[in-house]
Amino acid sequence: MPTAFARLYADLAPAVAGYLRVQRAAEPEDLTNEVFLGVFRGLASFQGTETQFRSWVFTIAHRRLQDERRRLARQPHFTAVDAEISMPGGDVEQEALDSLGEQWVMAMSQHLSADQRTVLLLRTVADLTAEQVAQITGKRVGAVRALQRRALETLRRNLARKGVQI
Amino acid sequence: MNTPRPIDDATAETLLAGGSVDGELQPVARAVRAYREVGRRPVHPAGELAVRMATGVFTSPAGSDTAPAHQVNGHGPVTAAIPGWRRIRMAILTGLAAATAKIASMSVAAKATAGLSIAAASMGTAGFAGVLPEPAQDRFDTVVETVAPNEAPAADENAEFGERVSEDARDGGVDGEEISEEARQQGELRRPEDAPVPAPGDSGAPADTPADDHAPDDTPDGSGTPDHPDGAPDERPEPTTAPSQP
Repeated sequence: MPTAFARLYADLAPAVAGYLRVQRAAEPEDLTNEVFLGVFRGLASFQGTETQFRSWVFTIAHRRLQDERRRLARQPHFTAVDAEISMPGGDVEQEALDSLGEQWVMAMSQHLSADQRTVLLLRTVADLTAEQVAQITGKRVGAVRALQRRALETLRRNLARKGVQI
Repeated sequence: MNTPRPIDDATAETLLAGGSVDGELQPVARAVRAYREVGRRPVHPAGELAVRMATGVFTSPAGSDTAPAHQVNGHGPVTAAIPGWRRIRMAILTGLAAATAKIASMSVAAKATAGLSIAAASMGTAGFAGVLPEPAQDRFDTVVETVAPNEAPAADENAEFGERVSEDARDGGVDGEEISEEARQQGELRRPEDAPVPAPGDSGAPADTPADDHAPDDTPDGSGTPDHPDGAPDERPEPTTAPSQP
């Protein structure tokens, strides 16, 4: 059912790709494709609700990201830091605005610890609950809540310090 | 100068849910909205994913002789065993399929999408029904034979895997997808079949314990356990069941 795959992809891939981009995956679009290949291959074995499906997809995305980081840590890589991956078609003006917003988010995220960033992204970009984030990251719910509080406090401090207008 | 009131759990949840907050927290609320927007930029499937989405060949088509989806693996090096003229054909078909998948993923009227997708399905499944011209049929068969079955490597291949990655890096022939997939498979081998899966809602602690507040929040993996002492990655297999619902 190609339509079903296309709908699932259209619904979830933007969030997965956004999560991977802000996490500074080396090739976020490629990794997104890889995630969905895994998702669609495993679709027949999935059991759960629509909400659980979303959580499952991000579990795979998070693990793929970890795999990529381990792999890159073991081997030299030569990726241009700010290389833009061109996307075919679409509204160029809107993409430019989106890109500006995303650059701001990436800049703000640099002030967060890795765990704070992961939790904040999974709560906002992935739109998951604290409990789901806890399962994905292997942390306790309390730890996730503490991380998200600290992440928001860090954002507040940096916004106040820099007088940043959003 | 007044010290701002710390963000408590309730306020954090309100902020993250996009609810209304005090004026002093408005900038944070806008920042959270900016984070949410990051996940709304459309992306398009490419390469093998686009082909598979257009053809719907993630599951075994009825009456076909292809491997079921869970056996089809190792998508990275598929083209390596295919002759040059077939690669050109594949590139053309990939482009067509990518365009079809892209159109299908756009937010156009549902009927139009369905119509296009059905057309794509007809195009894709034809390859498996044996109605394509022989060369195209061969291409599909070759791809499937190349990627399936997915034979898991022996446990003692872990060391060889590291050496191979190292050699590949030296000669510039690193195939990231292949290595990722292989590493993941080896991770699956190391995990016992009956490894415990977190129970639904099993946080192991009350919702918010004081200890959590004071625990460092950026330990390597949050588990407190180191990676494998031999330096091997500690990848886990992708789950096949849903995480619990809160």
